[in-house]
Amino acid sequence: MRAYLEKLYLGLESRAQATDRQQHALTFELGRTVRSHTVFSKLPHRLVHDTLANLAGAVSDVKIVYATDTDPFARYGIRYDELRNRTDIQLPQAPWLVIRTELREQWRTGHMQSLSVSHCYSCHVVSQTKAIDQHTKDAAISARLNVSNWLFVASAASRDFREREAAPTRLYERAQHPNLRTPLFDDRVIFDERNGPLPYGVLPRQEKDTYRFSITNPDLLGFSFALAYATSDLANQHTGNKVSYDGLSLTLTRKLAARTHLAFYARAYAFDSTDYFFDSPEPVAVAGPYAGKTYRQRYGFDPDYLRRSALDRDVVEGTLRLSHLFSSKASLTAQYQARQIDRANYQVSPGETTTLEQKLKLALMARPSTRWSLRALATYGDIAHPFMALNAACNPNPLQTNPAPSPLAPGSVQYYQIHEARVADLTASPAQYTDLRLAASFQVNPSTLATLTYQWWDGDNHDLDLTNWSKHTQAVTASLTLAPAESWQLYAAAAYGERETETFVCIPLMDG
Amino acid sequence: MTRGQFGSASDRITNRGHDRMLSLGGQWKPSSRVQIAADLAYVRSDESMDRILFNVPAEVLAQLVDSIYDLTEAHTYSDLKLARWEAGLQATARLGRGVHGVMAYRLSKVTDDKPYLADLTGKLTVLQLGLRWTL
Repeated sequence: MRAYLEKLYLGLESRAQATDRQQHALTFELGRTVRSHTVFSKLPHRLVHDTLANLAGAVSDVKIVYATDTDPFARYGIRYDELRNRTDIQLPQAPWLVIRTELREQWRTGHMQSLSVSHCYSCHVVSQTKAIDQHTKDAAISARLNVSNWLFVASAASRDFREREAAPTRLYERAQHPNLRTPLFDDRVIFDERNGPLPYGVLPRQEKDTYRFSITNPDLLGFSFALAYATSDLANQHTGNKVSYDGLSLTLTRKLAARTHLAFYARAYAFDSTDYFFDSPEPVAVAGPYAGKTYRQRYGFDPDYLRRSALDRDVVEGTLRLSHLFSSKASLTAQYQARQIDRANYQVSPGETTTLEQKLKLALMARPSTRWSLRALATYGDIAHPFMALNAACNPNPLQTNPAPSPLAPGSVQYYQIHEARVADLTASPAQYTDLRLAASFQVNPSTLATLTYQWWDGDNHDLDLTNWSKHTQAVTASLTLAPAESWQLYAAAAYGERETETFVCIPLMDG
Repeated sequence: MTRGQFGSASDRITNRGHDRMLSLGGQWKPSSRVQIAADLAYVRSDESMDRILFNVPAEVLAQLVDSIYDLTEAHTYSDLKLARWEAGLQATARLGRGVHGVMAYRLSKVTDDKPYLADLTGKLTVLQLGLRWTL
């Protein structure tokens, strides 16, 4: 429903398909001074229920992996509600200034599946129903100041996230030997049944503040100019850990000649997170040959660690694009993109923390005749030191070839030793790739248009030590649109796509 | 007792997926007051991976008697096959000045030939009747 009054515009739109699938919008304008738009929507999110059937593995010994679903017939889902408002105020006395407020509230309520796993005396996966009651509140205010050719925009935004339901709890099994049921593992498990029910899957309260500032000018010494800065702080209110972001971007474009256009874009940004030191409890063994000693005292293994985020990084990226219009029937665009990611705490190759991505694109558009339209886009990407997990799987050489009477006996290999012996690098990122996209349209007659497109992508990574990773996709589409008469329109379309990923799987050969 | 640690077993596998889609549709305006639209679509997707074959030496298997390294059925968890038929019919009629009547019917039928976490097989029928009034 829309109503145009002398100084008031009122719009109301309402759609209700079910009690949990609705959208209602209210728009009003008071002259041009106040412009407000409010939308409330709700919809269901259906979630899967994993039967855990694939965890029913067992071996002839008592060392088993098994699963328990405490709510096997549950149907999981979340109701999503969102209220969003945007209001602009622009006083007639100051038309060069627009103040905008934005408010958003989001509610997610319902139930989902939650999983927890115990260690020693067996791997027991337990599924429980977890109640969800999440509330996110966003508030933002911005000012747009237009003076001559200059546009200044400054904004401040704040987000608050809370999970109002308590985290699920689990009473973990007593840590003990799987066969003898004796407390031989007290020195290597830091929580069990004796700690009582413990929460898991805890979602802490989070707050995020974001500030942005930008300046644009469509004609600064012949250039279209845009400079923007953004900073944000995300804080975990439970632990006090923080993630900060700072980013600066610059965009310059200009016409070099009547038919040639140049664009340059550059951005530098950084993530910085709080380091977190985990001081592990170190219980002593109460039985066995090393009773009275901690795991560190027995094996020299230090379980404490300083957690430093793999996300922390300094990134610099740039794009240079040159477009040339040969005639009204053909144009060519060449684009070079580079991005350097220098990670503060994560190596992507031995001793190397920096990834350099370079991408070259060529795009050709042509209309060789009034009936034909052709487009071609070719991209080649080269990535030096792409993201990968170093030494993340596989130890090809045996660590213990003779049986030992127990995991506590001298000569029995320990999990941390298997962990340290891994040699295979893993990735799902290409070191180079080629992307080719072609499209052709043919106007068969004034009322019939035929279109054919083809896309081919091929990438691989041979930088890994034990294996290679590769991926290949291709897709073709064809469509025909007809309008045999003014009152008739018909279309037919077909598409085919295929993809193939080659990867590596590895498991340890062990017992113990 | 612990029987030992004999390194690791590995295999190279390939995941493959295919999508096919066919759709037809059209619009007809038999008069200036009535518009009819219809569409029909068929989509079929599948996803599969190679059988995992670990080459574990016989002497290692002889020692790791409590362990199973036969993962030859693991690929069935990623063996997915889904087909969907969708048909729709919509008619709009101008009933008067600024007043339109809208009727829409949509049928969606999904066949999940290889269900895993959830069997997505089902049929959805939606019938909409509406009145649109423009001042």
